[in-house]
Amino acid sequence: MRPRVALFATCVGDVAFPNAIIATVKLLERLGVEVSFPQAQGCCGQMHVNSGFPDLAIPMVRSFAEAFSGCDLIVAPSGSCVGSIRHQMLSVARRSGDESLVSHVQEIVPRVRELTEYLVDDLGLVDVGAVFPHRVAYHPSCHSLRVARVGTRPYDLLRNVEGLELVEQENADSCCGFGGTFSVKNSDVSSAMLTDKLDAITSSGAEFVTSLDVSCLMQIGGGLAHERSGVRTVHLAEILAGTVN
Amino acid sequence: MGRAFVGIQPSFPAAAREALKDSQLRTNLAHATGTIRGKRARVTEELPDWEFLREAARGIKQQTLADLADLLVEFEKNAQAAGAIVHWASSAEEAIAVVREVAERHGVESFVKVKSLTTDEIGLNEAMNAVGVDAYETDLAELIVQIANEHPSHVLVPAIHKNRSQIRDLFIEHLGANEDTVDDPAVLASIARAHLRSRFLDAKMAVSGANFAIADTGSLVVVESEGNGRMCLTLPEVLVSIVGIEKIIPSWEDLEVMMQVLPRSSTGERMNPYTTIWTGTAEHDGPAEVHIVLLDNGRSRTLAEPVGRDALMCIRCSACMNVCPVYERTGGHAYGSVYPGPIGAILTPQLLGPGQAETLPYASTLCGACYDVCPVMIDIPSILVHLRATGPHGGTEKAAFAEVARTLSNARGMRRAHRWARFGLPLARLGSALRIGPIRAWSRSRSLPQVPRESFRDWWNTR
Amino acid sequence: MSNTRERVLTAVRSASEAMPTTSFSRNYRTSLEPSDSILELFIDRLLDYRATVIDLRLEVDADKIRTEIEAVLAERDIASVAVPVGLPDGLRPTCVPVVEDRGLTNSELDVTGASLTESAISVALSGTILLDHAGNQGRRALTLIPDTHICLVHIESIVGTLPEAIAKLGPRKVMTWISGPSATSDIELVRVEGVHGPRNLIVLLHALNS
Ligand code: SF4
Repeated sequence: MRPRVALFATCVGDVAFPNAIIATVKLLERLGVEVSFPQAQGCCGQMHVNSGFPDLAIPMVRSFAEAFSGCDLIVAPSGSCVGSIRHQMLSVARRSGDESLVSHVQEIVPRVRELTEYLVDDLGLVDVGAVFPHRVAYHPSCHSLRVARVGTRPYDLLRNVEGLELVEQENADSCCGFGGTFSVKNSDVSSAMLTDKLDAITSSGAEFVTSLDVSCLMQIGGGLAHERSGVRTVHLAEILAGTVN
Repeated sequence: MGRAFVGIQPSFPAAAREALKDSQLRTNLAHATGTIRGKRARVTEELPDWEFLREAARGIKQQTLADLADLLVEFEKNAQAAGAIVHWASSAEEAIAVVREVAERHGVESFVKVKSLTTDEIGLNEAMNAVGVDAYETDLAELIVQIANEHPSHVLVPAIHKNRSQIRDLFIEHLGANEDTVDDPAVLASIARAHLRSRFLDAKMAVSGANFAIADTGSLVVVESEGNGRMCLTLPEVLVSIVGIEKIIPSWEDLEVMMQVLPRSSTGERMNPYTTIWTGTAEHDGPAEVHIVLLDNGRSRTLAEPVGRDALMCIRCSACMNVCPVYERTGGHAYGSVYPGPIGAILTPQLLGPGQAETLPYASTLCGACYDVCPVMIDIPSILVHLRATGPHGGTEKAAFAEVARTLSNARGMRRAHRWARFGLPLARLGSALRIGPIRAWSRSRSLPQVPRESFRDWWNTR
Repeated sequence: MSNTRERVLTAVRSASEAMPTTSFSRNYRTSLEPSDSILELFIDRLLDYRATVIDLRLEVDADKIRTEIEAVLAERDIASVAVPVGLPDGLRPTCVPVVEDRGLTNSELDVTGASLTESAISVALSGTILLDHAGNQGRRALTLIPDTHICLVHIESIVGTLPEAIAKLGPRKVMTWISGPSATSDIELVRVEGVHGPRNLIVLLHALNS
């Protein structure tokens, strides 16, 4: 039987970085997966929770639960959103005082996969047949690393991309400085962190930086463009799907 | 409250902006945090049972908080039976009053001090100074910071913002070192040794904190490197130790866990050079008069917070600071508190109470590095998020987030969001709510992303 | 003050009232693998802390141990030694004046070249010597003020892990745990051995039963 998944596009992905989500769909379909896109979905609520407005996240969690109710597996190409779904969504649901929402969320959360988890664990693949003859630096986003805990899966996938050279980067696992509203409220510290990240990337000799999270790529990409460094940012799904142009 | 806690807290973003301008501080901090991070990683990875030790350490401190009142009573009873005089202080002022009374009764004009965050928290040195009693810091770095009339920039290496040549100059000016002294750390350390030697040998009174207070024996534990702690705890006739009530551990046996996780997390050593354990007074060994001040100062209020109370499990190892990307850039001063870094960001606002240090919970990207290294597994990111939720918000900020929330909750809204994003509307709105020109600040170092004409949803629905 | 005590305790009690009682497991190691050589590990750790190690692990003859101690004193030009009253006579050097600590003043200890003591128990994994200040170790000031501490460690008193040491020893009224000589990294993170505590730690391993 053909594997089926429901796609959570994530709000930022849907609205601002469609290429990463389109790549996810193309990749999964190429691997024989039937992808559905529940239209009622919006945001997981992370931005509101992390900004101190957990109650405002309740309607978002509710629409998430409604959109994905009855779906077998839910795949999202984002370590950050998956991390938030796993670690924050239930507590938001509890704040609503709505027991049916709580049990609904409890039932959905274990079925959510980050894209690389789905590929490696559910499909059992580390080689998805991709070709990308470039030098690539991988930025392990903090939330994919320490909240969703995707482990070595992204590296395993990247190492199996034909022609791809994974370059070493100093302090690879240190934060890029985005942190949602942190980059606005503490923009000076955020910039200082970004500067170090950019230095590490440019001195690594990479042509591309990739990550599981478009928000980090927005921060890093914004910095690289500002510096006119010529290094480009792409989502990991784009490399795996072969949609980078 | 004490020195760094006096008055209105500076806002973190503003203080951080100042700190970022100090390039020496940034270089020294990056070097220090990077080095200690590496050492910590090596000595924790070599232990196959490290995660078990962390679990046990967490369990011990959780049990401590759950049974704290009983454990405090047990500690008091055992310490008294061993000859200690136990005092209680609900505030900084009350703790200071005890030290002052002891100093006056013994007619001392000065005392020697072991580095202690708790005494810094209550502003002991300044308060005693004001009544004519000098507090002499004896830890090398604290001595440097004290003669420079500054505050520590790092909990573990408080004088890391100073280079060796600056320290040599300070020693020449304040400690009477020769003009031609070389700026070799070993030479500078020996000058400090000589300077403090007679002070130790002649001291009548000492003040310390404690790393642990063991309930079932009534003992106190001080962990250190230089031997100044041993000097202060052993040689004077009178010793006063200021101990936060959360420093309790239930039993002697618990030391076998805490003394494995603390040094490895802290300095990245398998064990710190010296640990002193004392129980009341001992005949012909050490101070004949031993006082212990059990300090509340906001701790019981913090304990009442179901989410935030975990901050009281902290054993002050500073591992969270050394891995924190924010702390690595700003250093300790920007936090405006003796407790900086990730733990400071959750502890300071709670110890001070509502209306204080409100910008600290936002001094984090929630990257989670602190939680990963904390030997007692305090989920600092979750507590930061919780404190953001319970803290105040501006009306416009809230309205902006409410509007975004309504938008991102359904398909029609998501389409509207795409239109907004294309025209930069939500960012601008959020920006005015946060009362900073976000676009301006953002674009100083970053270009704004280009939002494509077609959202993912548009693509999906038309393919 | 007793008022404050009640206030604090009441506040603490009510704050933690609703806290669930937790249980946790102690799954950490309480001993090393039989294949680990405890003695070698201990020596490795001590050297890492830059202590001096004199390895007489098989030595059961007091005269030989004493001769070795005397050689150390001569080599380092140490002109006087302070010892605790409980240090066996056979181990006391004869080449330099030996003062027994029967209440020496701080300044008397300050002009003494070294202290010579035994120890209670040692932990190999962390290179830690635990003193419980019994008669063969003396009071705390003895091993603190002189600039050199020569510490005798019986090889059978070395255990693998801290939990073993804690279990064997039980609570003590006063203790000092020593892991290498006094050290600081306060200036530019450069490690310097020796600030206020003894700048030299000489550990002499032996097998002599008293
Ligand atoms: S919060 Fe944890 S890591 Fe940070 S100082 Fe306290 S114990 Fe150490």
